[in-house]
Amino acid sequence: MATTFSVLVENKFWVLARISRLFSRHMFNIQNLTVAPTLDENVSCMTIDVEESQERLRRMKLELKKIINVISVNVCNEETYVETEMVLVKIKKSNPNFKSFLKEVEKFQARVVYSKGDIEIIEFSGDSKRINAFLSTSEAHNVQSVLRTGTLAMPKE
Amino acid sequence: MPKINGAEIVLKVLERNGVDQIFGIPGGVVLPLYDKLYFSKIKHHLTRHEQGAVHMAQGYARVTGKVGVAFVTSGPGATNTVTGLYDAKLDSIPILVISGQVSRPIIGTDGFQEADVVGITMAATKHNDLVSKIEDLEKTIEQALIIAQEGRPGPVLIDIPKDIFLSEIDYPLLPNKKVKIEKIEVKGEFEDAARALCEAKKPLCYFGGGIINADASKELVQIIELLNLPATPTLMGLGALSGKHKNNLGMLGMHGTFAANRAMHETDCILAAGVRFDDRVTGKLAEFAPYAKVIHIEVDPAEISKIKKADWPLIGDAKLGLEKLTQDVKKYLSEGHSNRTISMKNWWETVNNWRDNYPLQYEKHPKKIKPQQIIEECYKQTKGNIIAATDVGQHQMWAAQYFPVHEPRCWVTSGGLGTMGYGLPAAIGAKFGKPDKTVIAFVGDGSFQMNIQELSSLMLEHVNVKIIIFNNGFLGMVRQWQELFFGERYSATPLRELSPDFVKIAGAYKITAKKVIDPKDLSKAISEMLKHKGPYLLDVITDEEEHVYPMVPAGAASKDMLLKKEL
Repeated sequence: MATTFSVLVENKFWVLARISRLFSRHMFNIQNLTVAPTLDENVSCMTIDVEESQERLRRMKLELKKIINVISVNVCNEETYVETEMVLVKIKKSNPNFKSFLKEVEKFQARVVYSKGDIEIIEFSGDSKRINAFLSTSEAHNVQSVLRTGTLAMPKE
Repeated sequence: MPKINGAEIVLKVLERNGVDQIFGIPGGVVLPLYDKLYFSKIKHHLTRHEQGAVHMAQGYARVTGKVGVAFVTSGPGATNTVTGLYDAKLDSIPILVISGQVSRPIIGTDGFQEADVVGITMAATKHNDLVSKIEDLEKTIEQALIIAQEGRPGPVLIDIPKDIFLSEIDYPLLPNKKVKIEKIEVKGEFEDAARALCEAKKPLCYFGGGIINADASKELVQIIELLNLPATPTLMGLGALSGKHKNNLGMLGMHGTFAANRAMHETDCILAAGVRFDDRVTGKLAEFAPYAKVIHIEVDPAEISKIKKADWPLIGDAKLGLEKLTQDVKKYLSEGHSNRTISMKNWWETVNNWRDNYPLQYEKHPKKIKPQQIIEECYKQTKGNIIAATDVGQHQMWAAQYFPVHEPRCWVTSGGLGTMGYGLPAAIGAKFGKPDKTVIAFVGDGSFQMNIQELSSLMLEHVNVKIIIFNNGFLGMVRQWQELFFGERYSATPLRELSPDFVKIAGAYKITAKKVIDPKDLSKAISEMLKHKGPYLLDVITDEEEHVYPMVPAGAASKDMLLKKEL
C-alpha cells in the first residue's frame, strides 16, 4: 500500500529535482507526485506517494528534512489527513460499452467535462478506494485513455 | 549607500566572515571575480587543477576548523570539483566552492564552458544553489557559510552567472558582520543513558570525526577518564583522543587493532559519539557488537539507527551532548551507584590481555624498508608534533595504525570517499592553515600521481610541506586484495615500470628530493628531510609484499580478523 508524504518546500527552481533525486538515490520509485504553490506563493506543497517499508520511510523522512529548501515533512494517514485524487477518462461514443459506462458515471457521480463528435471526457475525484473502483470500471468498459493527477493530502486540523 | 558589483559583494561577504585565504584557478566567467580579488586583502593560492583547489580547501578547513573556500570557473572548472565536494560531504568538512557560470541569457543554450553545475553537484554537496538575481547574492553567500558549518558540516557550492558578477547593487543589504553559527541543542534521555553507561560491565567509547568538528575533545576525554572507558576512534576520529592516551585502544574496523575490534565485539554498552557506523567499521553488520546497547550522540538525526539501532538516541551537538551526559553520569555516581570497580577491573584485564597478546606488529628486513618503519621513524623524530596528511591506500592505514596522533586537527585524511590524490593538495591546504606546524604528506606512488600537478603549487609559494612516497611499485591496497582474494593475479596494479623518477620530477619543480632504498639510510634521510628549509620529497622504496594487518576481510565479522600473512 502506498504511503503519502506531504512536503512543504520553497517554491523555486531546482527544488523538485532535489527532492526527486533524493528518492531515486535511495532507490525509491515515486508512484505519484503533485506539486503546486500554497496560499503563500513562496511555498509549494509536494504530495508524494511511495510504496516502501516502515523503516525506509522513517529514514526517508529524516533525509528529506536535511534538504535546505524543505520546510516541513509529514507522513499522511487516514486519521489525520483527507486524501483525494482526480482522474480524467476519455471514451469514444462509438464504443459498444458507452451507454453502460454512462450509467456507471452517473452512479459514481462523476461528470462529463467535454463532449464533441465521437469523444467524451469524464472527470472523477475521490479517495484512493473510490478512484481505484472507478478506474477498474473504466478499464472494464474499454475506455480510450485515463489520466491521474496524483494524490492531494490535506491535514484535517 | 554605495553600489558595488556582484564580484565585490562575494569578496566582501567572505572578508566580513574572516575568510583570509582562497584556493582556485581563474577562467573566463570568473574574470570579474578575479579582477576584484586583485584589490582584496584575501590571499589567493593558485592551484593547477580544480580538484587540487577543493582538497586544499578541505585540508585548510580540517586543521583550522574554518570554512575552506575555493574559486573555480564554469564548465570544466566546476565539474573538476565534484570529487572534492563529494569527499567533503562524506567526511563532513565545511567548504564553500564559488563557481562561475555563463551569463544568464546563455544558460541552457550549451554555451561555451557551460555546464549544469547545480545539477551535477547536487548529490555531492550538502547544499548548492544558482544565484538568479543580484538582490539574492549577499544573502546566498552568507547562508552558504552558515550551511557549511551549522549542524553536520559539509560542502556548499554556489554557482554565479558572469552577468551577476558584473551587476551593481547597494551594499550591504544585511548587517555588515560575521554570521553566528548556532550549536544544535541536544535532546534525548540523557539521565537514563548515563545510568546505562554507569551500569555497563563492559562499556566502550567509540568516537569519530564528529568530535573534531564539534571541538568536543576536552569533553570526550573528560567522560572517558571519569568512567575509565576503553576508547576506540574511527579513521576520522584520530587525534580527538591522544593516540598515546592509556585508554585509547587504537583505531577499529577493517584495519583496526585486535583489541579495539574485540572490545567492540564483547562490549555490552557503546557510547558512540560523533560517528556513523561506517561499513569499514562494522564489517558484517549482523555480527557487529552483538551484545551491545547503544548510546548514540550525533548531530545528524538521519544517522541515528541508520546502521545500528540506537537504544538511547542523543541528538545534537557532540560537545553539548558529552557535557550533558557527563553531568548526568556524575549525578548518578554521586547518588551512590558507583559500584563499578570489580566489573571495570575485569573488563580492563580482558582488554589489556588483547592489547598485550595481539599488538600491532611487523617484521623488519635487513635489505628492504618496511613501510611501518617510515611512520615510526617520523613519529620518533618529530615526537608526533606534526600535522600528518595522507593519501588513500596501504600507507594511509599504516599511518593510522603507527602514528599516534596527539591532538585534534592534526590528522588530514580522506575517509568516507577514499579519494586517491587527496594527500598532497590537502597537506598544502593544511600548511596554509597552520603555517607554524610541520606538515608531512604520506602518499603512495599510485595516489601521489593523481594530483602530482600540485607540486607546482608547492614550488610557486615555496610551501614547506614534506612529502614521503611509500613507493612499493604497486597500487598496493588493490594488490593486497588480489593476493589474498584473487589468486595473486595482479591485474593492472604493477606500477614500478610505469612510474616516473620521482626525484627528477621533484627536481623539475625545484623541490629538493632524495631516494632511499636501504633500511639503514632511512633514519638519516628523514632527519635531513625534516631539517631542510622548504618543501622536500623523499622517495622511499618499500617492500612490495608487505600487507596491512590486522585485516577484516570484506563481509566478514570484525572479530574474525586476519592477523598476519599466512605463509
